[in-house]
Amino acid sequence: MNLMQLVPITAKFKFLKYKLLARVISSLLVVGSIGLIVFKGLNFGIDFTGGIAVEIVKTEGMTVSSLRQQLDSLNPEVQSIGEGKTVSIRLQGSPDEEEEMARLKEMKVILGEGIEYRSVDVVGPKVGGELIERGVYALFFALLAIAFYIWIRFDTIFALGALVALLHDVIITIGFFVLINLEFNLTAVAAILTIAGYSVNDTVVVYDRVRENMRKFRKKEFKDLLDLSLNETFSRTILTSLTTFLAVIALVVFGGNVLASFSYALLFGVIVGTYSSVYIAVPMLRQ
Amino acid sequence: MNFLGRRLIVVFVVILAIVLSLPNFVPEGVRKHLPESLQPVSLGLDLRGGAYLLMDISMEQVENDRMQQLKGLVRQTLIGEQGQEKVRFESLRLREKSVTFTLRNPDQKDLSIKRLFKLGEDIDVSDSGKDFTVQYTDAGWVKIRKDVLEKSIEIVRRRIDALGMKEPSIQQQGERRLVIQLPGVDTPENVKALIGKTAKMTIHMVAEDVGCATTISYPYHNNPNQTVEVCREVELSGEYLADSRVIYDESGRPGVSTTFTGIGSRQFETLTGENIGKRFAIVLDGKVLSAPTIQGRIPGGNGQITGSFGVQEAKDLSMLLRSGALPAPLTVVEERSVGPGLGADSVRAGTIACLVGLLLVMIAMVLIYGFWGLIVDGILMLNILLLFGILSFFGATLTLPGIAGIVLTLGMAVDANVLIFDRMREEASNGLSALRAAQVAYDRAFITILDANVTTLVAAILLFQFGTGPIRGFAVTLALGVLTSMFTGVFVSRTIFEPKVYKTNKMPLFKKK
Repeated sequence: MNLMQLVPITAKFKFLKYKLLARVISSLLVVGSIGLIVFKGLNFGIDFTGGIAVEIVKTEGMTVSSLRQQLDSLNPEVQSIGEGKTVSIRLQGSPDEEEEMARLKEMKVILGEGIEYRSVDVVGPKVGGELIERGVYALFFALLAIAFYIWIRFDTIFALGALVALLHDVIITIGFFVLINLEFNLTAVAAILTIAGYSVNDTVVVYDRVRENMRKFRKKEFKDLLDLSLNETFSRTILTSLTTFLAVIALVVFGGNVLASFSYALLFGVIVGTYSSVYIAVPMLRQ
Repeated sequence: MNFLGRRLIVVFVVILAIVLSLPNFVPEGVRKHLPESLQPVSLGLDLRGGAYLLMDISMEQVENDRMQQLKGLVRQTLIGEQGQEKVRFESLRLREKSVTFTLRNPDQKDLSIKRLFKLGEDIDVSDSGKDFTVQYTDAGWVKIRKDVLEKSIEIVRRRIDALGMKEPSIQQQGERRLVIQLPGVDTPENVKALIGKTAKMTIHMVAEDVGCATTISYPYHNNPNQTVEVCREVELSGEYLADSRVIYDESGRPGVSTTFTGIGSRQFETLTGENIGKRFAIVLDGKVLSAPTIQGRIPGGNGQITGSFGVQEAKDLSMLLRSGALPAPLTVVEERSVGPGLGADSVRAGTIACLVGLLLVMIAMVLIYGFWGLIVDGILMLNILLLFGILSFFGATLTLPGIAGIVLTLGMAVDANVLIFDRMREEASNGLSALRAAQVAYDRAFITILDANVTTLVAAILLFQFGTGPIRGFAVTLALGVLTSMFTGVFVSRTIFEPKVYKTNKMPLFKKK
């Protein structure tokens, strides 16, 4: 006896019945995310804004407020991280690279000798701008390329459906970043691209079944055909989401600070991606 | 049903995966004795600790210098050598990227064109009657930039080698950037200070002692308030330096020696011979190192610079002089350094996340598929070994996001098997025999798996294209993970499962009524 025998081979859910509800929920989420992005704004990391970020090991008697005081002239953002053993210090970027390096030097001088630097990141203004550009290009071309592949392998309406679902996932994930104030950096862009890849992977599996059923049942009503396809692939959708979710959980719990924004984004993305395949990408086919 | 060929391939791949990934799991001592092609996967700077510097070459400065030079060349060429007919011209001007002048005597047009033509094929001369425009061709600029880039890389390499860094890597990025990676260096302050220095050395006569047309003032290196006025004309430059070492004078103060090459040493001899009792200034990057009085003719090209240097300063100075001048200033535009503590923490966190993720997925498979799940787990392990083996063999760099890519692959790798098992169950419920159901499932599911994975592959390729450093590491493991899991999930799995279904007439999750 094992678990999956409990799940019927072909489930009999009426997915499309909730199409309208899903559409309302998704629209709200998308609008809400855009609102958050516009009004609250993303917490851009130095990858994009330029600036200095260092992480140092706390020495005896060092506190967040003592550091703030010491470095007052540099106007730093100081935060305790890693169970309070280390401190992150962020300085704003300056429009000139040499000046930025001078600020780093000044900070090192003020902090003095004998400090263990766990990491030092300095991004100059020019590079920051370029990194944003590259991130946006990567996202744009990835969505385009994925849609193109689906258009070649399936049909226009499939490509459109997948694209809408992808945009939905990307926007909501970015909204999620704003909502919980996760730092938006290069790793975050990687996470979003990965989510896009994962989500479309899910979508393609169902689309593939839809295409197959369209050949098999020429006379079936399209709505029922979509429901059938979703049901036939349902146990797989649940299982794969489950295993991916488990793996990502391991990443969230054990992956450490450096990967935090990446892991959280993926965790969120696995859920959104699975949902959007079933409730956005497939219902989109029936227009 | 003859699966012998397939089985042999699977056995071969299993052995290959084990052999190639083995170096990752043996202790350091054993690794040393392994051949070069069998090495563990190399860790990125974010995992092993080290510094990453992105340097920008000031091409604006190069253009400026080149245009100044071109203006001088045009003047000289028009005037010609001694005894030649002089071309008479006026309003010789430097405009943006071109030099213009006007002929006084229009009859000298042909002569001017003929002379300017000798400047070479990279220089373009055009005229409208008396008004001339001289500029570099586009190809000329491309050549100049390429030269500057190559020279910069060479000089930076010499300096880094002189500093005794281990396993440094210097690569060009784009048209005007250098990426310098220094494993094991967590505070690259002195490296930054030294490789960014242009180290352009020139020797000028002190204006007060000789008198000259145009002068320029430089501050002392150790006292910016004290300046020396020198002739603009360069008597001798650092290009002619053959060597430079740290020396100590009689009272034990450090300084540097300078040894000139053949031409340089003759020039130095003439210069010192003709100016006894006068002072000359040795200028480095716009600062006077020292301005000694010439005591007598110095033959053989050996000079000394003593001034007020510390020991370290003298060492750095001799190193800079030895490695030569950079053709243009370099600025650090991005710096990322990771200390050994954080690197080790990341390796630990990544390893634990990987193992826990693997364990969770494996347990889930057994809970869901029972005995068949164990086989899926075996295939999953093969997938991981294969991935590590390929990464190691091709010398790919593993980064922390790369480890995340592996963890993610774990979750997605079993997808192929899930898809196939699901399909088997479905086909059997439609009345097919177990074996037939398995065959149909593999054939049919392959198309789905291919389509689904190609899209992930597309995302990975774009990540690689647009990403930098650690993100690229992620893209590589994600893409390789997709490929290996397709191979193991479809090919290996079919080779194992199909005969099993045939023999037992059973299949995962389905009991024959």
